[in-house]
Amino acid sequence: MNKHKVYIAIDDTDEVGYYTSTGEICEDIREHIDKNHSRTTPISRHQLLLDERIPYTSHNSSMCFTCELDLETFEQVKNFILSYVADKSAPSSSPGVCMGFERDICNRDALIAYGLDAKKIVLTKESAYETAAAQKLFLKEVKNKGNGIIGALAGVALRAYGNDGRIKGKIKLGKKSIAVSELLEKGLFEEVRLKHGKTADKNHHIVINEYLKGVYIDHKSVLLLEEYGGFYKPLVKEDLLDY
Amino acid sequence: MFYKRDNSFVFKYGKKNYDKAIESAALCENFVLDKDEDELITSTEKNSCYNCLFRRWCSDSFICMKKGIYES
Repeated sequence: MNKHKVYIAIDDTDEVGYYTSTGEICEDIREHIDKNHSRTTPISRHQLLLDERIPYTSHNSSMCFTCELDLETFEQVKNFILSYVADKSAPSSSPGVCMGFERDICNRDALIAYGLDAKKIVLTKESAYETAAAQKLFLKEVKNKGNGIIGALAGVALRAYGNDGRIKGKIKLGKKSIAVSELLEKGLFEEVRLKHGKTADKNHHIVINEYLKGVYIDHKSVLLLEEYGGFYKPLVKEDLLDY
Repeated sequence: MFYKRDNSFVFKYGKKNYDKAIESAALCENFVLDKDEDELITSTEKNSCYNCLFRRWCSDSFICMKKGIYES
């Protein structure tokens, strides 16, 4: 059977003080798929609306990644994810799972609009189900109130948008500097840009203090830099909070 | 460091006062570093309420959920 691009997102798996985060559970799922079914892409973390009317635990973020599956494997993976999330999520959490084939999305713009709305306004489970059905995406409440379906669908939507989210994890190279060209050759990022959008000079060197952290822009994993006395330096976490 | 709003304890200094968040964590016996490194928004050399497992971000600041448990 032919394989096609699949989006997978989860949300709302923890509770106050819980030892496992949604990001960690998503990473476990990604590793399972990577090992058993398909190569996967890095997880993107999407910041949704921070509003006291929304029952998130601490930061209201959703996690999404993509892989390539056929129809039969899609069902196997779906069952694995539902079981894994039910098992690993916090007892009082309200997890939701969203997944679907990119080729089945009927109206990409409508889906993206949903994701952007989730960053600005309080949404309901009803609108999540309506949007998911219209875009032929699988959406499932895993336990308790299942509010995580709103964020999970938004995660898929914002990943499909391609201009939102930080890439989960940090890259440590174990050296103090690297040329832009060498970094790109390593395949760690698809593009290296200055923070105002200009493409970085491939001959310039990047001074690395601790780690490299990417964001998603134009559907690519991008490392953002700023000028630093004839060199470049990567933007740090505090600079990336708006992504 | 905090004020009470609708039975929640809100950090007075917003989301970008990194010094005050470190000062506040230094005074707190309940600080626990969030285990998810991706949710840490500042350096971990010093404890900061911004990195605490018990902070709940809101539109203008964060709410301390531990204070909510013990003091409300």
